[in-house]
Amino acid sequence: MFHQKRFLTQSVFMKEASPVRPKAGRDNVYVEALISFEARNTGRSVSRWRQFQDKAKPYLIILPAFLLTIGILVPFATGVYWSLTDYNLMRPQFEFIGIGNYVELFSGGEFWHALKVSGVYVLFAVGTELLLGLIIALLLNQETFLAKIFRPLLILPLLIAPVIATLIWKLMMSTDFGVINYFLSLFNPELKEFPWAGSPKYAMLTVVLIDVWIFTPFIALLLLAGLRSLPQPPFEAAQVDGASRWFIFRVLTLPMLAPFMVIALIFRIIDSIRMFDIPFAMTKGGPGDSLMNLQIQAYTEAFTYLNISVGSAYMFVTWVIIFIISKLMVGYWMKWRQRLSA
Amino acid sequence: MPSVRLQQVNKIYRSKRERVHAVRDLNLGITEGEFMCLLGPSGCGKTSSLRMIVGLESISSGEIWIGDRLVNDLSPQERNVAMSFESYALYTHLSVGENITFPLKAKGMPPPERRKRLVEVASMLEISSLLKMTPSSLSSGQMQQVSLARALIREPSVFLLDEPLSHLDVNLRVYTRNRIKRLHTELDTTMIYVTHDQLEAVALADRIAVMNFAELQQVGTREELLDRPANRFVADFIGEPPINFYEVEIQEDLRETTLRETSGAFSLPLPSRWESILDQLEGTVFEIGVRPHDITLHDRGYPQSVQGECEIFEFLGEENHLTLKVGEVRMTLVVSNREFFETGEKVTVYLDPNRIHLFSKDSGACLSSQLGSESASW
Repeated sequence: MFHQKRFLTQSVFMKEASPVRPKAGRDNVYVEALISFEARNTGRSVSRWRQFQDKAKPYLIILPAFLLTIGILVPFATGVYWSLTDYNLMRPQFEFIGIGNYVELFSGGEFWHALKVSGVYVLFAVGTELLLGLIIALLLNQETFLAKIFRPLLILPLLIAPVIATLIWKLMMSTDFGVINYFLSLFNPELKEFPWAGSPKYAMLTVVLIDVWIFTPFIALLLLAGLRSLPQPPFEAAQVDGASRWFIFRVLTLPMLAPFMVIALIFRIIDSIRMFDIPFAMTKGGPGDSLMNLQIQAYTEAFTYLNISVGSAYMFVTWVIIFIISKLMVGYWMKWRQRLSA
Repeated sequence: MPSVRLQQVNKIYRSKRERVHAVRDLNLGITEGEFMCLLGPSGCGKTSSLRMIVGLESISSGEIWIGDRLVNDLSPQERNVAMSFESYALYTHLSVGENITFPLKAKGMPPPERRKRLVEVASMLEISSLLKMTPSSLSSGQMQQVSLARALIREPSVFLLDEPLSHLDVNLRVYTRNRIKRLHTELDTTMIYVTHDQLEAVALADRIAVMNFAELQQVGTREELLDRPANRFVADFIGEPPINFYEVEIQEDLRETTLRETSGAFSLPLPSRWESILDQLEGTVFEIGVRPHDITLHDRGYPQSVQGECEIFEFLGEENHLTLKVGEVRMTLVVSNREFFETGEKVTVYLDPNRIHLFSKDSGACLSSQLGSESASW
């Protein structure tokens, strides 16, 4: 009897105060449909508490992930704030100066130079790596004896810390006792004195060379995995259709591999924009300012001149650049994936 | 002269652990303009055979001739045959139109001519409205049409189809089946069609090659396969509903010789034409096969009547299937759509003595077919 009565009051109550409807949206429509379906079938209305639970659930589920990001968001926000101040470790106090640091950054030559160094580095390092990586992946994507041996060896350069690899390269490139210069001198005695990173002219070539040596296998491995995951029937169909190998490569393999190339490029471009260890271990940004990229510039500002605010401004600009590039590339990647999935 | 000829073709897949003999000593001649079906259960070697003809699979031994060319060592590109794939194998990043003209572009045909052929093929398959779309937005039936169009635009002399209908729903399957049949009539190309569905094979093919366990069982027209199956497998695989098999023993008494079903469910007088076979094969265990369509409810003067009890009655619309329990064994027959039965109902049925098949239980060979073909040749 008592239960019946409570039932009655509840449903009357629900009729009078119509439940707060969630804003229209595809997911909500679905949830609403479920709720009303349940209401109709069980003959009673859904309580407000239940509705609140339904709405709060997504946020509760995502809460752990949010807690994790605190460790990232707090320093990020702090850094952005510092870039808007005149924070310098040599002064006891600092104050908010708005976008002053950025105005100075964009009007001075150092920033544009650093941007140019980073850009050139990305262009040449990643471009060469993509080309070489693609060729290596295609060569290793066959079941020959040599390919089977080389596939596991490919990963070796990735197992060395880039700093150590750079230091080893530095020794090998020494004009006094470097093994590379020795071999070069066999072709032409003058090359014994080839200055490598010692000359502003060849510094960029040198660090790009080391970057290519370390990271080409990364792209080759990704593209090899991509090649192996491609569906076979289209390639068989193209063979039967009489397409030559070059035609198949150009019209089928390349476009179908494009999503994997984009993924490899996203990783490598981001890595190269925030490249620090190779040029720093090589010359600390020199000779002169020839290898002063965004990262080394920021490091020098913050840790040599103790100018935390300007260093932070450099880092924030770098973040914006990486954010925009990765956003564009991920968008492009998603579009291709969708197109390719039949 | 056969347009496609397979001589003693073998396919052996080798891996570290095992060795699979996928096709064994296949001999098959397909004449020009013929519609040949390779029919068999999964894993019988029919797709391997097709892939060897098209060149996607190497030939372990034997010879394959297309026209007067030995194609064993030719690449798929050089064999000049068209193929429609089970999975359609469309190029997902190209538009439908680009997909269809792909073979022409690969051969370097100039764009105006490509466009002309595209318009022709598209209107033939009624897909003109789809040309600008991407494959991912098509239904599976449309993908199938596009895959057919891509094969047809080459105007091939040999056209191979690998289970083209297996992913379509029933209505579309019948529709596409008719379309393929019509295309074959219009274009007069040699078609080799792989399927595991005997209905498709029977509906489409001029001749059917039945395969099982890597071996060719029988090649023939649908009538030959139905009336004179080479062995128990062919008799069982072709025909819907499947044929009824009964182990029989021969009983001789003074008046007549009868075939008695082993459990004693029924006996039939021995057809006189079989006497000669039975004399030669003393000691063999025999089986008879009776097709559900060859059993009737009506006495047409057949001497053999069998009493049974209705066990399962399937109402299917155009015709109904009735399964009787006769003693220990079951007997399925086809009745007209006007006749209904209830479980447990007593039914008397009659067997057409001229349409009973006799098999050797051990070898599986169909003894009555051998006799039939011999008597036909006399």
